[in-house]
Amino acid sequence: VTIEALSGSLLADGTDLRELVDVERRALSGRVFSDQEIFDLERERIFGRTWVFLGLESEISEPGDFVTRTLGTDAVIVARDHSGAVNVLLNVCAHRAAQVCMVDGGKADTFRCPYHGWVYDPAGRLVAIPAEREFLGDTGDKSEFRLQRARVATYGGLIFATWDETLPSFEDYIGDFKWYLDVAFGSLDKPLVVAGPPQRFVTKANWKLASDNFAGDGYHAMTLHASMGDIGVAPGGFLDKIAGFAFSAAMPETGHSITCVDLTAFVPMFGALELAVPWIPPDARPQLERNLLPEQMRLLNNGVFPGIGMLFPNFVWLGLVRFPGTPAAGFTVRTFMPVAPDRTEVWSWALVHPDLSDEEKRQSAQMHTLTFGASGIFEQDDLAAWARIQTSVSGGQGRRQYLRYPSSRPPSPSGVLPDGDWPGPGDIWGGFSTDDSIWYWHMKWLELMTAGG
Amino acid sequence: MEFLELEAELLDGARFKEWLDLLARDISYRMPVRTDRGDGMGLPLTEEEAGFSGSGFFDEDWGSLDLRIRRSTDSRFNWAEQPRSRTRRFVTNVRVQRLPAGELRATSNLLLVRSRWRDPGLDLISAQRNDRLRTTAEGGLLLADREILVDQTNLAATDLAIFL
Repeated sequence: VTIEALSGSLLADGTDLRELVDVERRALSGRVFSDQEIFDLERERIFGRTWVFLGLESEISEPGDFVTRTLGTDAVIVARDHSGAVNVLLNVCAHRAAQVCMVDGGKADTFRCPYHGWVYDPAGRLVAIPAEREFLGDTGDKSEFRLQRARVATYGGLIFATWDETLPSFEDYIGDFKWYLDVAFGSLDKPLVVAGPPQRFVTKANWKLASDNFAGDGYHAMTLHASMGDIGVAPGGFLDKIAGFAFSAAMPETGHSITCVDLTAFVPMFGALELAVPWIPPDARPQLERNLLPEQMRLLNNGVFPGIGMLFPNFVWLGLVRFPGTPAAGFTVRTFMPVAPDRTEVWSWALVHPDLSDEEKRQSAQMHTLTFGASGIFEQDDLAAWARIQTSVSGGQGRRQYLRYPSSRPPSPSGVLPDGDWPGPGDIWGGFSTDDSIWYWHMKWLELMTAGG
Repeated sequence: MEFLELEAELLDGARFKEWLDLLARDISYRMPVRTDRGDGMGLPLTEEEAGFSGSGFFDEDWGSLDLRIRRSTDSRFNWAEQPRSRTRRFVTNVRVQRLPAGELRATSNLLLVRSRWRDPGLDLISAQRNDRLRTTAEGGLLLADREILVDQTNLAATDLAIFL
């Protein structure tokens, strides 16, 4: 039985995907995280039907600049052409499918396939082939060949792409969540820029284990990251308190979510904006008033840190609070690209404000390296936990066990802030961190996975 | 050479505090992200080594290395190293050059083999290390600067809860 032959949600052994997701109990079969067939379906139904994050405009700021990335499980070239537009091209020659480009990035007017020498421009047009007349004949037309080009959306310096011609626009795709994305990426006159190339490493876990952690799991911090208290980085039960003063806003239609934390009770010596957006330098903070709505400013002026964002399926932003003994506040965006059911490529960028001095940029990037990424003193433990789960869900009995995301209490925006109701859209849980918003992420996953073959 | 062997022994033996004693207080310890760059037509562009931006797997000073080490020594919750991985460092091709003011430039190849619990697979990390060593008043050596040039651009390692 091939995947193409399957209808809707039936797997090859007759199991219905819906049986693996117990909506009533909020439980997911371990098989969801370890099954090759589900992984193959995700390639089409998740990564073929969503806007996928690939990188930042600041990585390719000049015409001719390019980087190579993965879109789902495909190699792509992300190139700025001479009109200034960003192109996302399948890194596959239109002739005999050799990879055209085999470097991580650089500057190129043209890309030459090594096999037969076909040459493409940064918009993917075939501009030259060796011995064109002899090879294609008098009637041949090279304009029928080109590198496949994906739809591209840029937003606040971020680059997204999709192969799906029928997918709604990026604006529609983010929907109400724009309110929060704007707080993170639309609040400054100049967007945050990369400090340098991203960390890239392959970890031993399913991509969904990494993604669902960033869809609202504040609960894990008090145990998994407990060493941060012991070494004085997050003193005084700080991480316990983070779980207790969290706000999750989850979008039922789109699966996007944000986790915020009220930090005012713990670090009262800082002003509200210093707590809310520590990665934005003081000189740039007046720009917030100009670019955000009063209700968005009200969130920040309550000292609420809009720090952990998840744009379905796998784009994450993370604000990094300056803890004692750490160099500076920071900001990172990251993505978890599937490689195999039990392997995920983590890409993690340090972003900095463009007006910082070189030394300040480096300190902010150091905060990323110290806390997140392969060597991050927070993320090391996350990676270890996800690898442990991956081992579990690969067992014959373990894959039959259901991972649980218990519901806590009905969402409510009422009175969750000191000065009144939560001002933003979505379903809101204020108070102790729960698994509710994570479940919204998985419900979106289920919707896409079962929406036709 | 002896310094590098001692250092490998201390790290392989998880004697991290003793390793920290071999580091100068003003150490810079960096492991940049490696990338292959090209012009699209097959010509390689040089990696931009100058002006390290802090975009790496490590960009540490003595204090941040101490923080990392205290996860093992001061906490029961260093989950990334539970159980502690066994590491074996193979240091070869050591070249030493004298610098002014009693300092030494040492370059070496490092092959780090890491084994965890009962996983039959091994993490293998190979790198060139460019070190600057300083002679102390007592005649010993301190590591004052280390650049770790790892060979993989896409690192195959569950995590980097270790030192190179």
